[in-house]
Amino acid sequence: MQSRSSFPFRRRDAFTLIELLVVIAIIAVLIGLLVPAVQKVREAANRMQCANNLKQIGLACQSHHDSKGTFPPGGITEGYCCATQSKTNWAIEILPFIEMDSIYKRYDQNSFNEAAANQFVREQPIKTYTCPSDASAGGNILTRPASGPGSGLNYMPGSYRAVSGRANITAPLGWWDNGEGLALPATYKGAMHTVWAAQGLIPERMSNIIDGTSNTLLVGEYQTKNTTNRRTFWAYAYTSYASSSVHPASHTYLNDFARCVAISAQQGLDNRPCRRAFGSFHSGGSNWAVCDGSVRFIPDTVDMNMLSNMATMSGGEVVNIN
Amino acid sequence: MSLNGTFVMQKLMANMLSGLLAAPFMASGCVGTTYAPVSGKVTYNDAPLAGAQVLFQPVGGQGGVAAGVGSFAKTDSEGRFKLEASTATPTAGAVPGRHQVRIALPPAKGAVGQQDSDAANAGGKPVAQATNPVPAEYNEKSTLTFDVPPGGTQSADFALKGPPLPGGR
Repeated sequence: MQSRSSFPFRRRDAFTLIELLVVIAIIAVLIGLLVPAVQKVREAANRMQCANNLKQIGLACQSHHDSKGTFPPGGITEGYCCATQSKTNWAIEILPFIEMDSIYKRYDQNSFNEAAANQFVREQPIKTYTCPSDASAGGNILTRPASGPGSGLNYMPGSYRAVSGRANITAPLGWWDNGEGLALPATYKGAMHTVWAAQGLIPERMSNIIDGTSNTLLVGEYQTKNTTNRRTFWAYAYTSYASSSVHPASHTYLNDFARCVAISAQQGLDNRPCRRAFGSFHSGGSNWAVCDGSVRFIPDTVDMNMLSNMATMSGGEVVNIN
Repeated sequence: MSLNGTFVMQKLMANMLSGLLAAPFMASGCVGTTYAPVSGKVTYNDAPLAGAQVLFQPVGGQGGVAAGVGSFAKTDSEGRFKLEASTATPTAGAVPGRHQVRIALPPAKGAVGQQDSDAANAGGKPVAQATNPVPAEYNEKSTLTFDVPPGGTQSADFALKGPPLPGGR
């Protein structure tokens, strides 16, 4: 039996500090590699769930067309200005087709959107209208919109907006989510524009989509990381809270209302293009429901002219986005 | 066999190493797009065009997707402008490559339509808007293009011609 102290490389029943540190370092590296991957997978799953919501919405609009002969109205606002109350909108009208008939039956079509009779519907959270990636400022709680006759009332946020058409980059400015769109060429109209029968604005039929249903956008996403009261409110029919238009400049395809307003101001425009923006929290782009019932992911770096053309029904433009 | 095994291990480690190096960049989302500084001057009938909106939209390639987002600027009193990209965080310049360029005069203050503006319009009727006086071939139906070189440029100059603008320009 030899003396322990005389043997320099003796075996012990423990790790040295160095060995322990090496093991910890390796584990740290592995975690560092794995965690971003897990986050990415989670976001990918959320994006897919979001696309699925839009698929349901797109199919519901098709079902609406089948049973009523037209796409739902983007919104019904018969009047020119700020105090004009609205009737129904697209998101309310397709409720029966996403198995939410019980909520739809509570909506009083004879009262205005802002009437006390419709408070129940205004405040309902609808899972199909909420993108799981939506991290809009303020969270998913009842909020008062920034403008219009409903600005003193609570509305439940949503994530999706109808495509009412396209806009100009400069005067005459106008948007098809209200009568102001009449200042624009009729070819700028989208599939779910505002409805005002006295002005000739009636819900659209599939046969009016002469650009082709697979080249025309129906519903997109709008979520913003700030300015809580300018986010999407699914049941608020007034102008720009459940409908947007494509403004052919990239700053209106951002999930950041404040940044959009800052950029608009630097071009000498007010915040109105930004109230009709699109954008989401998915990395690199947003999901869109198309009039043929399909769903597409369109990147942030899309040619905005092409996106504008896709927002219209009858521009006759060439669209080759894939 | 053992030689092959060593080679596989080396390759694996090289992959892991490159993955490690790339991970922080991917996480911050700043892969790829670079914006080159672009400035220039706009004239209308040989006079500087002040206060004009200048928009650069990169032309989409295959599938309608461009190399980056569009850029914007407003001209100063001498018609000069410096582009800024429409990115979430302010970034100067424009993405290199071909752009469609649109130049317009923004609506004068007070001349905008009043519907859906927060200031209530007691009359309840839309206000007739002045249209942008710069010809449509420079903006809504623009045929102007500009190729941004990879290193940027200081001479993105545009000489527009058209009927005289209100105000005698």
